[in-house]
Amino acid sequence: MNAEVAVGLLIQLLGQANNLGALINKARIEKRDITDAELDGLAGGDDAARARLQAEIDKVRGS
Amino acid sequence: MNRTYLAPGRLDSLRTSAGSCRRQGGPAIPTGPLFVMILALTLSSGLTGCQSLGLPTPQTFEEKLAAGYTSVTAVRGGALTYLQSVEAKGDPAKSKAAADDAANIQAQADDARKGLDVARGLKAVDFKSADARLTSTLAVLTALQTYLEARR
Repeated sequence: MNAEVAVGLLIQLLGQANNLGALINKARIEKRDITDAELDGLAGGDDAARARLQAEIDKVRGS
Repeated sequence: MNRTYLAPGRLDSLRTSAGSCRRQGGPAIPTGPLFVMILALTLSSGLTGCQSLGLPTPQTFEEKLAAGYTSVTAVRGGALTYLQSVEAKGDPAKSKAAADDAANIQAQADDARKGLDVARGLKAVDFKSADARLTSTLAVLTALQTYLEARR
C-alpha cells in the first residue's frame, strides 16, 4: 500500500469517527440516548458497505 | 472457507485491556497487506474506549452499539480500499490473494455484525445478557486487532 492510499484511508476512517462523535454529541445535547432510527441508519450503512465490498470481491475473483 | 480463529483463552486476556488506548510502533507508512484492518480496528478501539481523537467515549448501551456498527462499517470500507489499491496495480495473482484476504475480513465483520444485532435484539428481553453480548463482541473486535497486528 502506498502512502497516498494510506492517507486517503485514514481520512475516510476519521470521517466515520467524526460522524459517530457528532451523533453521540447531538444526542447528549438533546439529553437523550441514540434512537432506534439512528441505529437503523448505522446498520443500513454497514449493509451498504458490505454489499460494496462483496461486489468488489466477486469482481476480482471473476476476472 | 479459509477462516482463522483466535487461540482459546486469548480473548479473556484481551478483555481486560479492551477499550484502552494503545500506541503502535512500526514504520511511518506501514506496508503490511492488512494495514487497513489494523487501522480500522485501531480506530474501533479508539471509538470504544479512548478520547485521544477528541471523540466522546461511548457510555450507554446504545452509544456502544453505535460505535460497534461504525467500527464494522469502517472495517469493510478499509478492506474495500485495500482491495481496490491492490487491484489497481494490475497483478492478477496479488489481486486474487487480496480478494481472499478481503473475503476473510468480510466473514469476520459479518460475525461481529451478528453479535451486535443479537445484542440489540436481546436488550428488550434481558438487558444483562444483551450487555454481556455487546461487551464480548467489542472485545472480539479488539482481539482481532491484536491478532492482525501480529500478522503485520
